[in-house]
Amino acid sequence: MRKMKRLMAMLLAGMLMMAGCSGESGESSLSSAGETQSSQVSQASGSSAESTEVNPADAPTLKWLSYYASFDPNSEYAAGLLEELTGYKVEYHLLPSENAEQRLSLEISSGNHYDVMKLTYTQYAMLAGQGALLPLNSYLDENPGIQANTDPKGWYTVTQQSGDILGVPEVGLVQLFNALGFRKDLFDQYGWELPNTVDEFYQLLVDIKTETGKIPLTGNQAIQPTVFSGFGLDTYAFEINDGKVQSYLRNPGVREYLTFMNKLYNEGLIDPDWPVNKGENVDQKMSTGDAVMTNMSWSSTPNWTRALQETVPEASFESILPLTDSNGVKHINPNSGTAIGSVMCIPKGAEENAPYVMDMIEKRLEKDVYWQFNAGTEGVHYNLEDGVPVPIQPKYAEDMTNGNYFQTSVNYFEHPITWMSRVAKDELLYDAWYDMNLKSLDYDYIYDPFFFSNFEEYEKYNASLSQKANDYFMQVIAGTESIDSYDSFLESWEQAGGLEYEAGAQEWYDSNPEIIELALASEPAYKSVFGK
Amino acid sequence: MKQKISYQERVFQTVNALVFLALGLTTLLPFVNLLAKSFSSESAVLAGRVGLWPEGFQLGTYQYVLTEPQFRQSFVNSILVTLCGTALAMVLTCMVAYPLSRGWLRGRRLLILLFVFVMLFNGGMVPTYLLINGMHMLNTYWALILPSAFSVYNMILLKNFFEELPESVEESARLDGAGNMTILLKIILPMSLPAIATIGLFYAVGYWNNYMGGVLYITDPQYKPLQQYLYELVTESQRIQEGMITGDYNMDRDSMNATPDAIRAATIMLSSVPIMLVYPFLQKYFVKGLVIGSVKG
Repeated sequence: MRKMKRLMAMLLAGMLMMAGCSGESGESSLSSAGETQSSQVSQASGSSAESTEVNPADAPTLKWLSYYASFDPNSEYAAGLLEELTGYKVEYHLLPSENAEQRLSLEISSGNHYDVMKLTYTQYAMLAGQGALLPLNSYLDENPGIQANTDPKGWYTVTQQSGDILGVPEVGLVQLFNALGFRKDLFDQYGWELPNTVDEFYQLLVDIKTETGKIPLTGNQAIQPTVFSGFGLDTYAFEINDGKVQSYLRNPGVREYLTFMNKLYNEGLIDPDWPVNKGENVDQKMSTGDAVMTNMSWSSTPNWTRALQETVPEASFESILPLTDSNGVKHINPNSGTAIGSVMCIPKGAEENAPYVMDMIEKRLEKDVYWQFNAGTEGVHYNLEDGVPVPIQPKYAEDMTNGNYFQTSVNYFEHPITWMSRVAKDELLYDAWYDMNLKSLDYDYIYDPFFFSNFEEYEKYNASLSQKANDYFMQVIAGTESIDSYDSFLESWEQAGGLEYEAGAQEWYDSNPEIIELALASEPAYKSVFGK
Repeated sequence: MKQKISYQERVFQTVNALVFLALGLTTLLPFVNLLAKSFSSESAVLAGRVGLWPEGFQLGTYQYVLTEPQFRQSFVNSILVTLCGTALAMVLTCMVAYPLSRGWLRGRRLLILLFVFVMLFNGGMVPTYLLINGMHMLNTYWALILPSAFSVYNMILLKNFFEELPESVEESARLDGAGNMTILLKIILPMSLPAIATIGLFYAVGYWNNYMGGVLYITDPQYKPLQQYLYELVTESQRIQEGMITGDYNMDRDSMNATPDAIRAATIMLSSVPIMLVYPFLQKYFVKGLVIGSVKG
């Protein structure tokens, strides 16, 4: 009997301990329910944005919800630093990586209180569509530093037709992320010339194949951007001809491209596993030296080089720019996917703390603050060498690795420089990045007018239509479909929503001339930095 | 005298053994491969040179994973949740299974029917979320423990086991003046160790592998369970790997934080070891326990 009592006592003690551990957050969700109520009251009185003076000392701990991160932001160096620099204490919460949208919906619809959210564009668009977000227009007037320090283009994406601005956009840098990577050492050894045109490229593949027996070109994409360019094509969903918007699929160059790729495939000039390759297979073929070229991102270059140098000490990679088409144009397309990285927004019901949130967002965009959590402190985390913040290791890696998570937007003026510390932390990484981005500055970039587009049909059809085209392309490349079936493919593409997709794009294009002008007038982020 | 085995029988036995060996190996080999990867250099893993034996042996991956704050926090969370959860679940399950296994309990059939009903039909994900939210248990350890603290299925297994125990032992204890609680703790439980161990293991493995709890009820990274951490680590680095080639959005940022394969492998190893350590100790009960409730009478 006594034993049993002891057992029960131990169990009880265990439960109490856990209750103790969890008590804190239990309390905070209780108090947040209270906050929601009181903020509804202040919403009713409609005086939320009137006060001009905002004092961080009066602010409660701000509850921040963001998309997935692999680390705990609360214990990061930048979290403490920013609390000190801006005066705002922030409690960070994370969505899971899987089912994030459903979870976000649950959080919002069940009335859980967050003061501010940092969301992916998809998550933001979902909440904006549900009318769950607070218009920020009046707050943006109170905090002019936010719009003054950010890329003007991004704001179009978050502005509703009613004129309401529902978020603070984070716009990525205009830079090149991928290009055709090649084995520099082999090119030197065999004396191959870098190709400029499709014919030269073909001859190069033949030479590589006959002289080395290696796979000349590996990959797994239906659209190989370097080759695509040679046929006068951009890697964008739409083309504009005299004001008429149409899918790139209508460009006759696509047929030529597919025919060419199919020829390469049949002649064994590209990887025979092309249609079934996964990312890791490509990684493997490049780092064992089985393949000579592939579409390479500068971020994978250091790993490939190091792995290869264990067997081939002189191995190195460089990049080739897109091929020149028959009009003499190189289609250099900065990745449209980087346009909007994330959006900061405030849910309805969080009006009470909104002035503090917007002040916090503004303060994090100030030059000094921005440098300190993105690159660190000079002399401690980095040294300026020729204007480039070169990290001091291991301090930089310890403190700054996840610093960019804390951005409330991108400081348009400082970001290109602070960001360089991220590539400068590894010499091989920096070289690969520099090579790709510096070479390309000799040419004009071609921008996607739809960089900052925002229309319903895109959300609805883009993924399925891209997949459809992708599948068909792969079949043609591998020879299981003949190029003669292109017309019937196009017809089925139109029926699967392609026509509505184009119509939606046309409508958006016609009604947003300013943003198209701005998108087309983009400049490479490093043009001024490298003095080109 | 040795019994003569027919030719067909021998062929059957050999084929049988080979098939089972092959099946066993298909589950074992990926694990060995992962173990080898976790001790190999990143270059060797990337180049696909690692098979069943490490290439370029190193321990840096383990050092890295063990000093990763979120891994450590999640590891502690999962241990805590598994220990407390299993203890709580066992108490609840025994307390329910015992009375339901006794013929003298009034309304027993109805109670069992109700239990079986909730086993077959439950509220579903969203109402459960709302319930947990309404009880202010989001972002607490309770959200990870309570929802799976009682399994009707396990309770029925245990009940069936209890029913098989000879009633005369219980009767004699009752004659000696023992009450229900004493009988349960001093007579029934010690006689049911195989069942207790098996069901305890079911619960422990369930808690250890619980991943949806974290996805649904946790946003504060401080409470993130290990399996969620692991799942996200693996899927995110795969996404990044694919994205580096297709140029998915945010790639310029994410890709530099991609988790190398060797570190991923070490994380998976470290996450499986604790629960694997439990098996050898319970092995002797486990085989016996697996057939509980299968023979009646």
